[in-house]
Amino acid sequence: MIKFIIKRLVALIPVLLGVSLLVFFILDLAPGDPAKTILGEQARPEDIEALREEMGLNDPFLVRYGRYMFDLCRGDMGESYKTRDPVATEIFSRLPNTATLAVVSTLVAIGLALPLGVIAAVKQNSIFDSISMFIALIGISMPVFWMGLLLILLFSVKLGWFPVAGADAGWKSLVLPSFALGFMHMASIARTTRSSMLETIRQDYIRTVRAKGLPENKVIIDHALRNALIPTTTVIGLQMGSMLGGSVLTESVFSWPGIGRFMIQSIQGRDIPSVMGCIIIFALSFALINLLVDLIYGFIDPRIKAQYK
Amino acid sequence: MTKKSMRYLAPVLAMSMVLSLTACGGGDTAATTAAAGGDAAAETTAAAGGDTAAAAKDTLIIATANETPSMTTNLHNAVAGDYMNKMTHNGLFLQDENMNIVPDLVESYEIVSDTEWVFKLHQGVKFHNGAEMKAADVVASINQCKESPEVAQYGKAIASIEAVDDYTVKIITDGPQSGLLSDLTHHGNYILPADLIASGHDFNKEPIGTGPYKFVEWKKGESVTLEAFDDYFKGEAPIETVTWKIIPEGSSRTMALEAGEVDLIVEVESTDVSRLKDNASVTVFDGEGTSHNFMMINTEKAPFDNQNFRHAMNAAIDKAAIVQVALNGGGSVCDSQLPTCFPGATTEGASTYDVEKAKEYFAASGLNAADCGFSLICSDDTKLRVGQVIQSSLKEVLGIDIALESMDLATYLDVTATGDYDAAIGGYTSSGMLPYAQGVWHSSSINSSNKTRTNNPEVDALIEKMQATVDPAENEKIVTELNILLNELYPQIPLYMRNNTRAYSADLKGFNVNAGGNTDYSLFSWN
Repeated sequence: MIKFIIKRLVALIPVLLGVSLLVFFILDLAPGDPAKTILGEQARPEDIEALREEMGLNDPFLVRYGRYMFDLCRGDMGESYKTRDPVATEIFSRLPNTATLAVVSTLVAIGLALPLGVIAAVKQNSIFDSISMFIALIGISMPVFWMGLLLILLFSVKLGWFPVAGADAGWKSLVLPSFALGFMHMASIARTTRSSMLETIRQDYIRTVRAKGLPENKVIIDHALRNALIPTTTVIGLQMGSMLGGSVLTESVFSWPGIGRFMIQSIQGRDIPSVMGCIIIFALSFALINLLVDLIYGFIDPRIKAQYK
Repeated sequence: MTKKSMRYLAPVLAMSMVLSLTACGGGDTAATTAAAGGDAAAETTAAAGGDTAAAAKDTLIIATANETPSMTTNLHNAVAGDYMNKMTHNGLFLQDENMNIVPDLVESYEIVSDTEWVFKLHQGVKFHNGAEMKAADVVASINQCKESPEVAQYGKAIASIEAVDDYTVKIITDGPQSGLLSDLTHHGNYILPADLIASGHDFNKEPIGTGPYKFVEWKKGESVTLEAFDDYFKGEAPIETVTWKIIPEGSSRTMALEAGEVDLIVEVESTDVSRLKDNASVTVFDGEGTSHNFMMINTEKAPFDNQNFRHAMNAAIDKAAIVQVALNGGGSVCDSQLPTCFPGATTEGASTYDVEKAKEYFAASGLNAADCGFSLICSDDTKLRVGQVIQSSLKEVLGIDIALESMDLATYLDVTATGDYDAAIGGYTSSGMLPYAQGVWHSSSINSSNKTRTNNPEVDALIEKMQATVDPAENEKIVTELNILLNELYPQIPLYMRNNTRAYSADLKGFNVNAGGNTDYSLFSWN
């Protein structure tokens, strides 16, 4: 198992190198001058040129990329063009907020999706199935910003239970954004759970355990659900990975100080070191979540665990 | 319902109950804890009185869309940063509520000659670190501004600066400079302690100025908190704590004000104004601003190089509809090539909305509608709505087809500065007529802010004369002369002057904002 983890971690290095080169190249191709964006419309050409020189933007592409990677290998993600603060400070001041939102939203999504998916499968073609899948349909088709605004209107403005914006009211700040985000992600988890459960409960071994007289809840939870969880875990992992990269719309509607909004603002401002830092953290989070998902497979299905050598 | 079905429904019901209970629990706690929380603040606004209200009166929470890039005065040129710098710093001069430039840290001043200015500073002004502000601090701060690319344009008029004594500063300008005092109001020229500048102090982490509020905390992406400075030279501000909360989404800002979670919104969503006006606990301010908005056209390209065609477009565009559709009435129609809020501006010689006249101008241009189509860049939603009205007006009146092109800000800034475009919706907000004229019309600004690429020696000469004329009455005459000339040339299509709109708690007293959008928060107090 340890060998498997080390192998996967080593495999991350070329992935991160490839991602960094690709993103640096795309940002270089994109129209727009970071110096002009920072100084604004009213800046004089000589001031723009002075700032470009100061930021090293006049150097050739390979020199800039090489310098960036050299610093990165020493743990220095550079300075934000916009704020002049270290990118690491900018990112790590926001990352805990993003991680908290991602984890709680995932828990909300799982908490809603698993019962809905299981009920829909067990009661296939019944009213329960229709209701469950209707709820999942709402989740997948309702834009998260609209859902967010409705939640704010009801729970913050009308009822005054939760704050409208920010993350400074403790757990109360977390309720509405995590529900809005979790509800959206719930939909695909519920649908995957349903189809996976449908496949599992038609297996011979399920018929066998029923024939042995095991109570139905034990059949469903202990035997069917556990075997149906592999595809569901994959979907959960992918969704959590994307949430760790920031959920821009949710963060904007609820003024959640996360990494997603920071990344978008950095892209708009052509703040190359900040964008690079965010993308690298995003790629790293995604890869680590995938590794975690692979490890969870092993706990769910011992046959998979046996292959981790 | 069977027992079996209940078994499967149970987890769902349990989940719903947990969520409901969680939600209910939140309400109670909010009422007892939050000075800044939704409930408590809402009660304060509504019920002026009682214990909760008394506790909340020491705090002002302001919602703003954008976060400052930096707290350091010379390292940014952003409006959001200017808001912060005005809380913590002072300049030698400021623009008052009526846009007059009046002394701030300066007690009096004398114009010794066309190029020599002597300023007497207030004595006993303290920095937040307890040190007294002296002439050496002014010299160091202004020299720093001249050397910082972000704000260097506001120091370019100054050839040299020296401390005559502890409380007297002499500035020698680079030729006669009528815009000197305006430049000195800019945050790039705000005064910092000289010893901290020399030691490389990190003003972004710990801004030290002479302003009414001291820096407390900056939670990145979330808020900036400040507290009243006891030794502020104009007297301590009535409100002890001010928090700037970053709320990027317009509807969320409105709802935060409605819920009493914030006390003032700086950027009010135009579609929410009428709703806020109907709310008795909210006051809406809607006054003329200095933001001049226009359709920029690349006059180096056909058909925009045709003066009659430019007049034809101007006369064909229904600007009243633009103000209504794009701004929800939050602005006024503008036909002048210079912003009408400054002295000397005139509409003399400008064409106005007149369908018949537009057709006459178009006929005189000798152009065919089929050859006049162009692409109009709109870099945000408001500009897109403006573009839609222009598209419809030009099609209806002149039969010209135009395409609307969406573009992000960085690309828009790049292509419009380099002249790689046909037309774009733009705007220019300035603290005075001289910086506006220099930025928008002088040929030295081609490839930066002169986006129409106007290169007219007569226009340049008038702007340079305006810069060199320090006498206000004489200066105003030159502005009028320049405005009439530009109204005849019509190098861009002026559309509207945008209002400054603010919404705030009806219990807030001392509200002020000038046409430039500047507010003195140290004058605010609670009813």
